[in-house]
Amino acid sequence: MIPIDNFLVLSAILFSLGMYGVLARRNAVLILMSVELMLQAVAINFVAFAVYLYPETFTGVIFAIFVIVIAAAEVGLALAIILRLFRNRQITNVDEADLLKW
Amino acid sequence: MDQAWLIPAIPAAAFVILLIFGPYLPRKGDWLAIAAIGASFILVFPLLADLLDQADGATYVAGERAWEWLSFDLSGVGETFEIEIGFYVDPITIVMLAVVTLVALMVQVYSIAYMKGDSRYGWYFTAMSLFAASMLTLVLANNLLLLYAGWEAVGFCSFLLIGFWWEKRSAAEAAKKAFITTRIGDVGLLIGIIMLWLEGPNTFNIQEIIAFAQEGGYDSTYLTAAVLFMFMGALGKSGQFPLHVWLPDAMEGPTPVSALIHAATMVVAGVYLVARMLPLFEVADPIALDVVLVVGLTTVMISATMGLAATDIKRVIAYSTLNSLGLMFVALGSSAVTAAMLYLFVHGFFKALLFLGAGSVIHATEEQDMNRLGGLAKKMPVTAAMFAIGTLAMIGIIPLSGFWAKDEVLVFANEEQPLIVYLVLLSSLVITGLYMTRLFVRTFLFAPRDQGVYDHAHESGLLITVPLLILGLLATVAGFVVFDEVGEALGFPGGIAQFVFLREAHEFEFHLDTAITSTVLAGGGAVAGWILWQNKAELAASVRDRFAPIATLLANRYYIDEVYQFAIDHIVLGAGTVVAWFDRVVVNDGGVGGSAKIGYLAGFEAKFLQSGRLPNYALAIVSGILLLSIVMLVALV
Amino acid sequence: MEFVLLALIVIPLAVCPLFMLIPSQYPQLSRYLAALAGGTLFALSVLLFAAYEFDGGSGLRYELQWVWLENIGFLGENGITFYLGLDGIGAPLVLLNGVVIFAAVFVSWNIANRTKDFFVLLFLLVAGVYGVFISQDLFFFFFWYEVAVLPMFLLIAVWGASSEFKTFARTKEYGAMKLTMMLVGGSVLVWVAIFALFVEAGAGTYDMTVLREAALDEDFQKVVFPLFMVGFGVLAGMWPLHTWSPDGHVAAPTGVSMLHAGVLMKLGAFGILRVGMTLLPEGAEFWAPVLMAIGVTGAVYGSISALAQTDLKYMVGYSSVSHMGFVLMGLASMNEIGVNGAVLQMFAHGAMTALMFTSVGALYDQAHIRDMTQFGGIAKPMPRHTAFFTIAGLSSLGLPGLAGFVAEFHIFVGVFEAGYWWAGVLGILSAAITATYILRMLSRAYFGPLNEKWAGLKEMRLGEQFAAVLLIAMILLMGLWPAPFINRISETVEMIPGIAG
Repeated sequence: MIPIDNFLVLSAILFSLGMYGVLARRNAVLILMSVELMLQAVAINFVAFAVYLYPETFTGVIFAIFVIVIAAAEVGLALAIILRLFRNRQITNVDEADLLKW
Repeated sequence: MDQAWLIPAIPAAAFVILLIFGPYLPRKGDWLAIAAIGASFILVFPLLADLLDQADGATYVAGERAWEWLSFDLSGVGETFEIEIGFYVDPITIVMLAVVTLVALMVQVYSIAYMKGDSRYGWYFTAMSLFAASMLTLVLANNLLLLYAGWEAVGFCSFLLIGFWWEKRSAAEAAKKAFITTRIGDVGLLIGIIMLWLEGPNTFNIQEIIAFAQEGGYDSTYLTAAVLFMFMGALGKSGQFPLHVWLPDAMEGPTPVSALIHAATMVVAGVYLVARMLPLFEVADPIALDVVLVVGLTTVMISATMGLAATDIKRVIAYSTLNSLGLMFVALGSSAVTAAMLYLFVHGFFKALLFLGAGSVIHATEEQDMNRLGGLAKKMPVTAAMFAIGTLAMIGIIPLSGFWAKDEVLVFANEEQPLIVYLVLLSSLVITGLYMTRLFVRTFLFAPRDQGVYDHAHESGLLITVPLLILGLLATVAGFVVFDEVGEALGFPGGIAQFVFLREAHEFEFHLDTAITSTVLAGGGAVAGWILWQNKAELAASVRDRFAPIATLLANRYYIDEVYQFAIDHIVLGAGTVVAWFDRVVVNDGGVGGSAKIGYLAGFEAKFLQSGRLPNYALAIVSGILLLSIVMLVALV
Repeated sequence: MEFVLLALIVIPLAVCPLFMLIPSQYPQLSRYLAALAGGTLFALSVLLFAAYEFDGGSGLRYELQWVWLENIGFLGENGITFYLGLDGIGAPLVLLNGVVIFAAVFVSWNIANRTKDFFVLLFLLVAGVYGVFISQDLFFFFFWYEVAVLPMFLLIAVWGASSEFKTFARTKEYGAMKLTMMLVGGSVLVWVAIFALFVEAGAGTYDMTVLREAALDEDFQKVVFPLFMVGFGVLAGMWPLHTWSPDGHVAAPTGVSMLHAGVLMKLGAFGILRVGMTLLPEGAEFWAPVLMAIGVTGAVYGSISALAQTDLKYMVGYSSVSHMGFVLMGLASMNEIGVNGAVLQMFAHGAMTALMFTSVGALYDQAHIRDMTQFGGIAKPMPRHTAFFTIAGLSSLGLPGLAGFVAEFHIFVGVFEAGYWWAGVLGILSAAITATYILRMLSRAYFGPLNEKWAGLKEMRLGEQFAAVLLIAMILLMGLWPAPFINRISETVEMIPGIAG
C-alpha cells in the first residue's frame, strides 16, 4: 500500500501552490483557480485519512464530495461576480477592484 | 392668647385677596389693606390685656399656641421630627407688635396720598400687606423655623418694595443688593438654627431651646459658635457693619416704605432676634456678647460720621437709622434688653416720623437733595414742626422719647462696660447732634438754595399731615413709658423696666450725671451744627476744606462699597467665569469631548487597514494562520 | 386602583398609535388628543397620590404582578415579572410626572413641524418615566429606564435649536448626541450591575421585593454600588458627568426641557435610592462620603457656573446641576431627614425647573435670543411672565413658603445630622449663591429701564400661563403644606434598610 505520507505531501504541495497563486496572482480568474487547487488539496486529505484511518466508514469521502459540490457552487458565484465586474469596469485585476473599504 | 394667630393672618388674607381680586376692587383695594392692618393693631390690645391678666406680680406668664405643620417618626431613635406653626406672646412680642402695627397703620394711611396716581398703586398695598403679615409672623413665631420663614419673607418684601420703581436702574440694583446682602447674613442664621437643633432637644421651639441651654445642655464653645452664626443673620437684617451697605441704597424705594421697613420694623428684626435669643448669648462664652457690642459700636461710629457727609435727606436719615440700630446692639451687648427694646419702641415712632416728614418734603418738592432745598419751614409749617420733633428725639433732647431710651443705653454701657465704650458713645452723641441739626437746618431753615424747588413746595394734605401729627405726638410722649405712673395707667405697673426684662425686673432709675452729660454733649452738637450750617453754611464749607481728606473719605462712605464691588466683580464673578470656563473647556471639551475624540480617532486611523484589496486580505489571513500555528507549536512543545 | 397604576403606562403607550392614525394635515387634532391624554394622566396621578396610604411593610401598595418569563434556564420562579406597585417615594414623583407632562403639552402647543411625531415621542418618554417610578421588577425597571432615555435623542435632534455663542457653538445634533451617548454609557454600568446583582443574589428572580431580602456579601456590595451610583448618577446630573445636561437644555425644545429637567433627571436619583441604596445598603454606607463630596461639589460648582452664564437656558441648566447636587447630598446623608429631603427636592426641583423652562421658552419664542444682557426692563410688557419666573427663582433660592425651602431645609438638617458639617455649610452657601445669580438675572433682564427693542413683546400665551399656574400650584402646595408629601415619603423611607433615624 502506498504510505499515507505521499498523499499528505501531494496535498501540501497542491495547497502551497494554491496559496501562492492566491497571494501572488492579480487576475481574478487565476485566483479563483488557485482557490480551487487549495480546495482539492483539502479533499485529497479527507479521502486519504478516511481510507487509512477509518476504512469502514464513509464520513471522510462524503466530506470530499461536499467540498467538490461547494467548490462548484462557489465557482459559479465567483465567476458571476467576476463577469459583472468585467462588464461594468472592464477589469479582472483584483487590485483595481478595491471599492470594498471604508 | 388664642387669637394671636389672627394678627398675621388678617394681613395675609388681605394680601391673597388683593393679589387675586385687587385690580377689580374699588380704589384698587387700598382700604382693604388698611382695614387689615388696623384690625391687627386693635387685636394687640386683647393680647396685652390677656398677658396682664395672667401676670403674676411682675412676672409675665407668656402664652403660646401651636399647630403641627409637619412631623414624622425617626425610626430607630424613637423620636419625632416635628415642625410647628406656633405663636408665642410675651412682653417683648407686645412691644414689637405695638410698634409694627401702629407704624404700619400710619404709613399705609399716609401712602394713600403719597402713592396716589402711581401706576402700581394696587400692587403697592398688596406688597405692604404681605410685608405686614410676614413681619408679624416673625415677631410672633414660637419656633426658629417660623421665625426664619418670616425673616426671609420680610426680606423678600423689602426686595419688592425697594425695587417698587424698578424701571429705574438704580432701584433695581438697590433691591438686588439688599436681598443678596441680607441673604449672606441669613446663611449664618440658618446654620445657627440647624446647629441649635442638632445638639439640642430635638425641637425648634425657642423657649425649649433656651431652657435647654440654661440647663447647660450645649457645650459652651458650640453654643458660642451657634449664636455667633445666628448673629450673622441679625447683622445682615439690621444693617450692622460690615453688612450695612444695603441700607442707604435701599432708600431708592418709596419713602413710606423706607419709613416702615427700613426704619421702624424690618431692620429692627435683627435687634428683636438677638433680644429674643439673649439668654443663649448669656450662657455662651462672653465673647459672643462682646462681638455684639463691638459690632454695634463700630456701626454707631461709622454711620454717624457718614451721616455728616451725605446730602440726600433720605440717606442722612438712613445713616441715623444705622446709628440707632448700633445703639440697640450696644445695649444688647451689655445684656440690657430693657434698654434695647425701649429704644426700639421709641425709635419706631420718631424714625418713622422723620422719614414721613422727609416724604412730605419730597412729595411737595420732588427733590431730595439738601443742596437744592432750604427754607421750607415757611411753606410747610406742620411738616417742619414734626420734623423738628423727630430731629430732637433722635438727638436725644429731654423730654422727647429718644432721650429716655438713649439714656437707658448709656447707663448700662456705663455700668457694664469699660469706660472706653461709654466715651465712644458719648462722642457719637455729639456727631448725631451735628448731622441731625444739619439735616433740619439745611432742609427747612434759612434761604432756599433753589428758588424753583421752593416755589413748587406746598404743605401736604391731611392724609399726610395727620399721620405726621400722630407720630409726632408719639415721638414726644412714648419715652414716658419708663415711668411708673405711665406704666400703671397702661396696665403694666412699674413702667417698661418691669415689663420687658431679661432676668429680673429692676426699677427705672434716673441717673442725673449721665443725663446731664449726654444732654450737654448732644445739645452741644446740635448748637455746633446750627452754627456751622446756618445761613449759607460758609463755616461748614471752610471746615470741610480744612479736613478735605476726611471729608472725601466720609463722602465716599469709607470706600466700603467700592471694596465690596471690587470683591464681587473680581473675586465672585471671577470665580464664576473661571469655573464656567473650566466646565466648558476642561470638563466638557476635555473630558467628554476628549474621550469621544479618542474613540473617533481610533476608528479613523484603524480604518486605513481596510485597503479593499483582495490580496492584502488574503495575506493577512495566511500570516494570521501561520502566526497562530507557530504560537500553538511553541506552546505544545 | 392597581389598574389605575397600569393605566399610567398603558395610556401614554396607547395614544402613540392613535397619533399615527391622525392625518398629518390636522395637527390641531393631535394637540387636542395630547391635551386629553395629558389631562387624564394628570388626573390619574393626582388620584393615586391622594389615595396612597401607607399600610405597613415596605410601603408598597396597589401591587400588580404578571409573570413574563419564569423557570427557564437561569430564571427561577417569578423570574421576570411585569410587577407594578406604588410606594411613598413613587407617589409624589408620579404626581410630579403627571403635572409636568400636562404642563408640557400646553407649552408644546405651537410645535408645527411634525406635530404628531413630536407627541408620539413625548408620550413614549412619559410612559418610560412612569414605568420607572412604579416598576418593582429590576428587569422592567431597566427596560422603562431605557424607554425614557432614548426618545430624547430624536426629540432634541429633530425639534431642537442650534445656538451660537461668542466663543463656541452648540448644534442641536451635538446636544442630542452627547446626551444620548452619556446616558447610554451610564446605562451600561447599570446593566452590568443589575446582572451582577441578579447572579450574586442567586434567587433566580429580578423581583426587587425579593432582592432586598437577599443578604448580599458586604464586599460585593462595596464593588457594585459605585456602578449604580455612577450609572444612575449620570442621569441625575452628577458632577463631573453633568455636562450633557446644560448642553441638552440649550438644544432642546421647551416642552422637552421641562420633562428632561423636571422628571428625567429625577430618574437617576430615584434609581440610586430605589436600586442602589435599597438593595445594597452596606455598599451605600461605604460610599456615602464620596457621594456626599460629589453632591456638594456639584451643588457649589453648579451655582458658581450659573453665576457666569448670560444665556438663560445655560443658567437654568447649571442651576439644575446645583439642585441635583442637593438631592445627592440628601441621599448621601443616609438618614431619614436627609433622604426625605432628597425626595422632596426631587419634587420641588422638578416643578420649579419646569416652570423656569416654561418661562424661558415663552420668552425665547418671541425674542429668539436668550442672552440676558440683551434684555432689560421686560417686566413691563410681560408682567405675568416676570411673576412666574420670579416665583420659580425664589423657590430655587429657598424662600420659605415655597417648595424649595422645605426640601433644602430637610437636606441641610439631614447632612448636619449625619456629621458632614462642612457639606452643610457649603450647601447653605450654595443656596446663597443661587440667590445671587437669580437676582442678577432678574435685575438685568426684567427690571431697569425698558430696552425699546423689546417694547413689542407680548404676554405669554394662555396655554403657557395655564401650565405655569399648574406648576406654581404644586410649588405652593408643597411650600405651605408639606405634610401630605412628608407623610407619604417618610414612612417609606423609614423602611429602607440602612437609613438611620
